[in-house]
Amino acid sequence: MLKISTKRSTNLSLVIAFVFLALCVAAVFFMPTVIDLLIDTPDNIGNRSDITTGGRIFVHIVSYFLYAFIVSADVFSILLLLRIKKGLVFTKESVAFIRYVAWSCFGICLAFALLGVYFQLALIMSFITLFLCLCLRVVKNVIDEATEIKDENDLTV
Amino acid sequence: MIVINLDVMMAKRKMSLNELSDKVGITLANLSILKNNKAKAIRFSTLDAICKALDCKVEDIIAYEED
Repeated sequence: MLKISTKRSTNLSLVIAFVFLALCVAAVFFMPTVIDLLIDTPDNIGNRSDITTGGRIFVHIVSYFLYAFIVSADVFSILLLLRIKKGLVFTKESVAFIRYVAWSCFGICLAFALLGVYFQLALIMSFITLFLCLCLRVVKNVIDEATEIKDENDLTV
Repeated sequence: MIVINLDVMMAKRKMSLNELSDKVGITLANLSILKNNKAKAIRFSTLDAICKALDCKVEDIIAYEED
């Protein structure tokens, strides 16, 4: 089985996170076209042929909110990875970054839930991101507890 | 709260932090944490070594004060 060192793994994650951020920046220019295309393309569940102009605007606005939450989750992940690279894992700042990523996931979940009005498949994505948010909260609680234990250990003479 | 009166005992014995660090066998940084009441816990072995080095009792170093 392929096994890479911790340092390389962190670097790989950083590269992926930066590439994803670059894709997000590039995507912002194509978003209106892609959103319109998605609205006009019927899926297996149904089509959106009866969508009003107000509905279109609603989908566009929610999509931009979704985009903002995705970018914020990626940026906080990059900041967290940079701290991990420096060896600052069990610190209050790292816990805060995980918390921000979790809240960003919750934002993504809400945005997907709102998009579920017109895209039924988005409800599944909403459920998945809610589960991801829950997992991140658990990881955050574990790291928070570990930080306290480390702090206590460091200050034991 | 628990307070550490290490500086008082060190002054009584006219012992420097460097000297105590050498005698006890813990780093200056850790001794400084202890002296400045920043420590969260102290090992029995450290307490034993400090009492031995300063020729004092535990209560001369550790005291309880009302918050």
